[in-house]
Amino acid sequence: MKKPLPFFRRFEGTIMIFSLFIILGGTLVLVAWAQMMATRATYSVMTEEGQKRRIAIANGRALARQYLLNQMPSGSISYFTTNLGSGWGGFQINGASNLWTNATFSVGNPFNPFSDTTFVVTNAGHISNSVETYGWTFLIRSRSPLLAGYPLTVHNPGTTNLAWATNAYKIYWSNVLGFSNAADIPFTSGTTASGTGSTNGYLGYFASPMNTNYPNPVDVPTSALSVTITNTNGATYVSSTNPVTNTNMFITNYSGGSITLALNSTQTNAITRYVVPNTVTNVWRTSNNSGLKTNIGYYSNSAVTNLTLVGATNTNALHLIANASTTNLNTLTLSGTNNTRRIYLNKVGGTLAIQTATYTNSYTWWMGMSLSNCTASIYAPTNANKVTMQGGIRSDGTINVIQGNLSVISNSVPAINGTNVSDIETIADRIMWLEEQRAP
Amino acid sequence: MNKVAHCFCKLQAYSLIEVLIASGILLTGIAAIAMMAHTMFLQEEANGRITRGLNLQEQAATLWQLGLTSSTITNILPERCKAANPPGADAVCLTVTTNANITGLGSGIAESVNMSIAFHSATYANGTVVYQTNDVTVVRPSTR
Repeated sequence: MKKPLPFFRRFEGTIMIFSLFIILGGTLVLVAWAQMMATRATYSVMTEEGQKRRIAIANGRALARQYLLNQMPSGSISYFTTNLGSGWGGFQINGASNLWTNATFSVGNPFNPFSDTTFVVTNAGHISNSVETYGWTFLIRSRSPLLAGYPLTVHNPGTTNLAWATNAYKIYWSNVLGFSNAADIPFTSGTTASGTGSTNGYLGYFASPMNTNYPNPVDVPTSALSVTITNTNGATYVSSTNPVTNTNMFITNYSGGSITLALNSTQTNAITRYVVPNTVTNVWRTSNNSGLKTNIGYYSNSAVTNLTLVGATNTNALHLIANASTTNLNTLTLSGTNNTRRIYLNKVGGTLAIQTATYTNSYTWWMGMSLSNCTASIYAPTNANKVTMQGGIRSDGTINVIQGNLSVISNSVPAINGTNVSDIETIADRIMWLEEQRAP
Repeated sequence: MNKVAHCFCKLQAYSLIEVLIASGILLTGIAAIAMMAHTMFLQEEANGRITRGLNLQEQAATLWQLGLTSSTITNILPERCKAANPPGADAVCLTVTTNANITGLGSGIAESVNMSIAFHSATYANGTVVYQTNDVTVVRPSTR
């Protein structure tokens, strides 16, 4: 046994321990390095598996989106589940209904172009790959683009081809105030919501075909609206003997001809829906006759060609519907220079001339309209006068300002909260879209 | 002088054999570590190539799901894409094969493709290039 030098003899225990620590540290470093290398060696294998799982989740989302986008226009969704083979993704969706008629207005995604407050139906589901299953939340949102701040909303008219088919589908901009510099379609333009002055207003363009599924809340009364005939043209007298009902009135029967219906300003209900008839069969026209007797005209089989709206200063909501079968209606007349009643018109098919009762006054009307497959002609007040529509126009067809000045400005009424079904928001037709997020 | 010599006479050292054995062990260890390091570096290089290749394929799948065509994808990817397979040491071959549409989802369909990638994953010691392929199934909605 060799003996250390005398000088080191005093430290030999310390040296031994120090050496052992160095050996231990070096060993740990070597082991860590080897382990790190081993980890890196298996990383690529794990990457391949991770890549497959991520792509499978994305596939599941794609399948779920396609399924929902297929189902949503019908207004309801059925429970559905499917999985691709070999673990390449799948989904499961729960059922939901009342998508178009949903009246729950809630704050949501603040980054969607329709403001942060929309109608929403929340539908829970799952997205899965070969190993994992994630909870997924699908938010089916809807709102009227006009009421969300796009007073002029244009849809692609094609159902199978997303190109504008012909020049027939266009908006003649020259007299639409606030949109004089609008560019070619397609576009999404705008610098201010109001579109006043020389700036362009918000302009919505949607490549999708126009969907006019309007909500139908169960508590919308279809009556409580005063309708009278204001003038007739061509109606024929059909009864030789006036059926006198009492000493102060007698009834004269007329049939055929074109008539004008006037929706009077009195509307007691907070919200009313009126379906414009194509042909009236029981409309009465009253006039004072010779001071003693009231002559009541009874009109049947008369075509309604002109609908006159009498302006009101209340804020009740009025929903007018002119279905595609209402082919006789071709003119809408605004009577009265001021209207604050929330009027929303749905017109499908045919043509419609929108005119003011006079052209020498400015009109300010709260009015929104959706014109589907309908050619609209605007006859507005001339010179310095204009008709201002607060609400706007949504259309997939021609809007031609033939005369005068038309100004469309966005709805300034704050969005409703909760489930206030008396609001115009609940009856205006909507655009529906899908948002999704992984469930927390 | 005698005093100094006397001091060194008391010094004791390891024998030459001991030193040689210890050195041999040490050299063996160093050689083993060097060989392992070389292997690890090759493995590390292969890992990097594989990770890049798979990541490229995943990005291509994401772009396709966003609605881009395969030709557009190969044009905008940061790696050079060649139609030839094998593509060579400095490129990848990305092949998109259309599968049958996925039906049964209602009125619409979901589109599906098989996206295959071939890329240079490693190099043998003799310089031979090794290629790796990976196939994924990618789906996107037809309504988008």
